[in-house]
Amino acid sequence: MIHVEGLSKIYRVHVRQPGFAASMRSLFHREYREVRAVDGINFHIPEGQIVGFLGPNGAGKTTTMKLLTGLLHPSSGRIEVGGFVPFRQQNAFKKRVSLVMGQKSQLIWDIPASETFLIHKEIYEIPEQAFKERLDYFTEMLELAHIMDKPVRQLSLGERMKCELVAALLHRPDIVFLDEPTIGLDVNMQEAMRRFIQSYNRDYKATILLTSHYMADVSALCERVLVINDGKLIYDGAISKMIDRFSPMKRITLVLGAQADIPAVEAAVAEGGGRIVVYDYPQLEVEVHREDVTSLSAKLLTKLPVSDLTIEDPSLESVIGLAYAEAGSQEAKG
Amino acid sequence: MSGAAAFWRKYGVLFKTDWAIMMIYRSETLIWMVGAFIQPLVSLAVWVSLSGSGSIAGYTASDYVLYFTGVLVVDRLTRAWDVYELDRDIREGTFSAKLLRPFHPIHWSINGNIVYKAFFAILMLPAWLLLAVFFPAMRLSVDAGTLGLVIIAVLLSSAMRFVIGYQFGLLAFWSNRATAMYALYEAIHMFLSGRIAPLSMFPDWVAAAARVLPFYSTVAFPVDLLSGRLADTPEAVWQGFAQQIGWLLLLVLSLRLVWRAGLKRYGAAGG
Repeated sequence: MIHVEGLSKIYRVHVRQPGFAASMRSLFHREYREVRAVDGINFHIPEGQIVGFLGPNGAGKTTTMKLLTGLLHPSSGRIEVGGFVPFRQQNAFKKRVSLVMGQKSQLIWDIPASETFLIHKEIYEIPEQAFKERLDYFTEMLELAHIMDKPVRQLSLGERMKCELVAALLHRPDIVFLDEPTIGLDVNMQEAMRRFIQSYNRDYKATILLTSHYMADVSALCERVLVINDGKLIYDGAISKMIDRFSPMKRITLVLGAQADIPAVEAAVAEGGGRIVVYDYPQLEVEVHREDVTSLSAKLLTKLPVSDLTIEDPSLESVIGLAYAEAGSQEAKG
Repeated sequence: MSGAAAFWRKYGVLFKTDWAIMMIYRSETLIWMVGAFIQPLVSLAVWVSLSGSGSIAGYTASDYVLYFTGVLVVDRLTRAWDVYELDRDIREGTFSAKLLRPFHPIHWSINGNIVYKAFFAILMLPAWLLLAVFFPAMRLSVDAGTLGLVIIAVLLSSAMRFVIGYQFGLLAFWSNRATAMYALYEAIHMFLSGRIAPLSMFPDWVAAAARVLPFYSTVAFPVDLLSGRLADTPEAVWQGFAQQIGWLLLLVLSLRLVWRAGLKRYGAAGG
């Protein structure tokens, strides 16, 4: 459904120095710098998949989304979305895709959201009956009934985001790009958005590419993630595999039932191939390679007075952090 | 639904929406409309006092009254303001939302022009009729046929000025000084279109240049038609229309080129 090959986008940026004198100089002599926002990325997303698109700020996520929706012309490479070349901006293409940006509104500010919906009804040529049905579906799913007829400027951020989603999905696109759809929303609202995105994907077999800084969004919605850093794709695969790939360690947390002296604890942990992260009686945290988890746990259980033991993967946030760091150090080496 | 019907339904809903927004801001709209009267009224006052009981460049005081009232109405009904909106939308990236929809963004602007100009016409034309009752200088001596031509000339001029303004707005794809460039153009337009004084006041070569370039035909030509100055020179009437149509075609052509080149430069700022 989405196919990207060797995609690059290079911006030419006018370098501005601060200060009045520098701004006068720049009138006559302009300096430009090339910024590779997206640098030769490849991926393929089949129909109906929800893919998380991760990366630090400025990594190139939004630029990629803009390239995929045809807002930007690629500097090089090939993009095909739903069988179309996005930047040709054909209307048939625009009727099949949608881009929701958490930070940008497409609703008209001074009038109720329902008026923007009516504009979309005509612009996307949605038949009367279908429009009614879809609006009912959205109204029920997102509990919109009481907010649709208030001017947009009077809506709270969460209410506005719900309406943004409706405006973006009324024409029932089968390819949806969501750029930070839950940014700034409270936990309940994030949860509601997630449920909604999930059911939209299920009900309409929509292909969805989603960026978010909230790992909860990604782990709840996406089986697959793309990780981009500095314009380059550094990971493409399942979330679970990403944890293996970037973080080979697991963490064992123990609660000790009785005080054990430090040398004994250290010996037990070292013998099992682990490393103590924190020991603050009664809590002991140990890090260990995943293949040694079982043997170490067994040792600890026999040698120490353990009253509780949990084994966890590192949090997705910390894995992502490791992934960015690894990409950064490779960059430095290469 | 046929293609044409669907197209007009789109305009219908946009018209209703823009009208509703304008009504929310009706007092601002009125102030904006009246603000544009100041320059022609000042010009009028200057020329009326200078001409005294005689005439300057073929215009008596009462001719000036008619001329500048004509300028005031024609300018208000044909002036485009899209450059400011486009410049902001493109620089801040809000243009993206319009680009993503399967309806060319220019239709939103065309519709905005129709809405506001319809509103101005509804207020200004009855006001003219009312004033004509009290001020003989404002009574028109032209026949219905000529009035029909005036309407066509105003529509063509409005289209020309819109296409020019829109292209200045598209310069925002390349530069963040689009509005400044437009302000410079507007200053030249003020002189060469006859807004500050009739073209007969200028040196011949300036007047000739203003007639060839798309200046005279945007304001002074419809005004001359309206005031009956072209009643005895039908060739000047056809020349005026030929220039309007010729320039409009050229401008539309260049708009297409600028549009295509600009889209490649679009940076869709912000995320």
